[in-house]
Amino acid sequence: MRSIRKRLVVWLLVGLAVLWATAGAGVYFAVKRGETARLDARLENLSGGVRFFGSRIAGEAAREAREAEREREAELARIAEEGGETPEGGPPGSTAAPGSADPRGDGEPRRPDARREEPERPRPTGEPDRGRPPPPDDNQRREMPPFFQEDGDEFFHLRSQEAPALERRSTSLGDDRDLPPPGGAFPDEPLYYDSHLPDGSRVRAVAFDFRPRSWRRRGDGEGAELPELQAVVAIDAEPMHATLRNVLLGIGGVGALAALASVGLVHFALRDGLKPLRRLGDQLGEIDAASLDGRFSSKGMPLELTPITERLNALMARLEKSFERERRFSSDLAHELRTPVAELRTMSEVSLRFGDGTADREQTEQTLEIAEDMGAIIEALLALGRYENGQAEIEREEVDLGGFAADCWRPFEARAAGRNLRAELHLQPGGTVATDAKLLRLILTNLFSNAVEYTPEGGAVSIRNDGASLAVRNDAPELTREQLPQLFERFWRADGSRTGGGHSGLGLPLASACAEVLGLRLTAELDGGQLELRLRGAAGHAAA
Amino acid sequence: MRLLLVEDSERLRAAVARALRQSGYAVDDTGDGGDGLFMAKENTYDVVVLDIMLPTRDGLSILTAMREGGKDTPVLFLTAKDTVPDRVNGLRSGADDYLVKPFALEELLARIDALARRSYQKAAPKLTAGDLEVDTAAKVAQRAGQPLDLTAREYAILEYLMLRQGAVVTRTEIEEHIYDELVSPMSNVVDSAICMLRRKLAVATDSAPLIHTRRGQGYILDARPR
Repeated sequence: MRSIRKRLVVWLLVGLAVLWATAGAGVYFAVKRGETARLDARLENLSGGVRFFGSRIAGEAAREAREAEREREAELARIAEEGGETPEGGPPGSTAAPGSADPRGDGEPRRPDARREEPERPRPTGEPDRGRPPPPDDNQRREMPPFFQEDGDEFFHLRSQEAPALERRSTSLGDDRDLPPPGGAFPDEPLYYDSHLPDGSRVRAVAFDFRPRSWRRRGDGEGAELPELQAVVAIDAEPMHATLRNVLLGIGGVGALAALASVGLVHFALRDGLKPLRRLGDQLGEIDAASLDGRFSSKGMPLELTPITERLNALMARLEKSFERERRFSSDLAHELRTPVAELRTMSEVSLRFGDGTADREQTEQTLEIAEDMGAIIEALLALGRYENGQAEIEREEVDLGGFAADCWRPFEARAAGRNLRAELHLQPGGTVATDAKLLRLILTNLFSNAVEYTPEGGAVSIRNDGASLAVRNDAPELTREQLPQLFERFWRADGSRTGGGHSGLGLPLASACAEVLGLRLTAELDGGQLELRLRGAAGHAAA
Repeated sequence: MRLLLVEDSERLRAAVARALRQSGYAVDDTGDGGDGLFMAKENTYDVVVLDIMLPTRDGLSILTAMREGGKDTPVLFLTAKDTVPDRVNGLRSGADDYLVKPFALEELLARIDALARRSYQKAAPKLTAGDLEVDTAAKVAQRAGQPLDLTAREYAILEYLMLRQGAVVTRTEIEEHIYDELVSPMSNVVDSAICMLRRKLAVATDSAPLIHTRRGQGYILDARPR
């Protein structure tokens, strides 16, 4: 049997879990996407600065190279003028000329190859500057402050294949940490990607390459072609991942709570939702043949059950009607038969008693017997109807079962002897029952009559009581186990062709109905060719 | 004893009426409820046997109308209705007895006898007057231990006189109680029957006369010598 409740619970819980997981994943990815977009926007912003910075250092390097060249030419010209004498021993361009002009006035003139050997002096801003990368100038600091703080969260790394001297790192990166470029060739378009710093912390990065435009300054004239630069700009992504972790934790935590709440909710919702169904089942369970007049109330029934209750009520009404009709029919039939049977009986009796001798006496006697049999059938049928409908009135009194049974057996002694039956009575006094003597007599009389009439000639009948239960056993060689339940059906006879003789096939049904009225149980068992009909006291009715 | 039988089954009515007549009752019978009520009101019956389901008027309403009209004749219901409420309802409406069809003829006769006796405040079936003994159950009479050979009608007249012992019984009363409607009231059947009865009661030459004539009034049965 499958339980609606179990199925609903499983479906609802699985469904809710899937929904929750989907919703959680949606929220997580939406947050992640938003965060990443924010970082990418920042990166794009920073890229502009880096581009500018790269252009400038490349331009400066080119300019310095040009100035050095010019100085060298001037020197050579002077040497040529002074007779080829060299004032300093160093190679041209190896040291900065002390008096050389600083083009921007805020930095020191440098040769590109000298940058690494000459660390930046501490700036007036007072920041600790232990890094060896070239110091940023004030403009840089203003423009891109986080790059130039040691614990800044923005990084860049500039490289150039054509001019390795142009390699720059942001202060935040330190001097020995590289920003790894994306795998494969350096992309033409800016490429956004997730990466790691060498120490393992996660960053969001963008890689792009660019060729700075010629650095033009007052009086510089046409600039030479500047070297192509490759830049990687990154932003520390740990805060974003922390946020995402929190989101995930939140989703998980709330999800666990929601799961618990769902279990409770589903449980209560189902219990409440299925309540009308259970109520309907309870109402149905109370119905039997005697209570067909009951109807299911549709008040308080949910809309979904209303068609069911309506159908059930219609069905009940039909059942009640047909039960009623059937009851009335057999009762009407019996009543209708009463008058003709009374006619038949009275006429034969009058003919026997007051006749003028014209009628055949023997035949009239037989007619009277038939009328009496028919009268007995009618009475049994009506009694059966009454008892089955529970209309009988019961007057309980203390009855000694053994003595009472012996008393009921007495009228059958002659008939049993006439059929050469071996009757054994094991009736002990002491089994006292509180019951209706009239009905009990009816039961016992029918049981004994059944035994005496249906036992084959010369067979055995035994009647035995055991406290408050009584068993009648008799030979029944032709009875089969399959026929046992039919014993209690109206008009059923083991030998269908056998009719007449007052055996209507109503005795055992009547006995059974009476037993039920008295709260007793009449059962039939077949054991070694013997039928045992046992009358048992139901609990509460049998006294010890 | 005169009796009204209202029963709509013709065959049953005929058989019961025959049995009752043979038992010494004067029986009027009808199958119609309206007729039944009319007869019950017009005549004086010792017992009325009523079916409940009848054409034109049912037995219960006949009974009610009878009781309302001041008739307290004992009524026996003879019916196919057998439930306890039916019986209770019948008895409550004023019926004196109730018999369910199909019935044993013996039982019907016995119950009718009992009702008939009861209408004369006699509960015991044996009536005595001097050395005359009438057993209303067995419908036999004996005088000084000698059984009397009486026809049914003679017995009925004797029983009726015995029931009203010591009282003057008019010729009309005898006619009403012993003879049914078929007998012409102008005939002298009562006189001749009384004459015959007197002859049979004189079992011995010294037997005292029991039935006395009151000129212009009727007859009186009395064992006391006068």
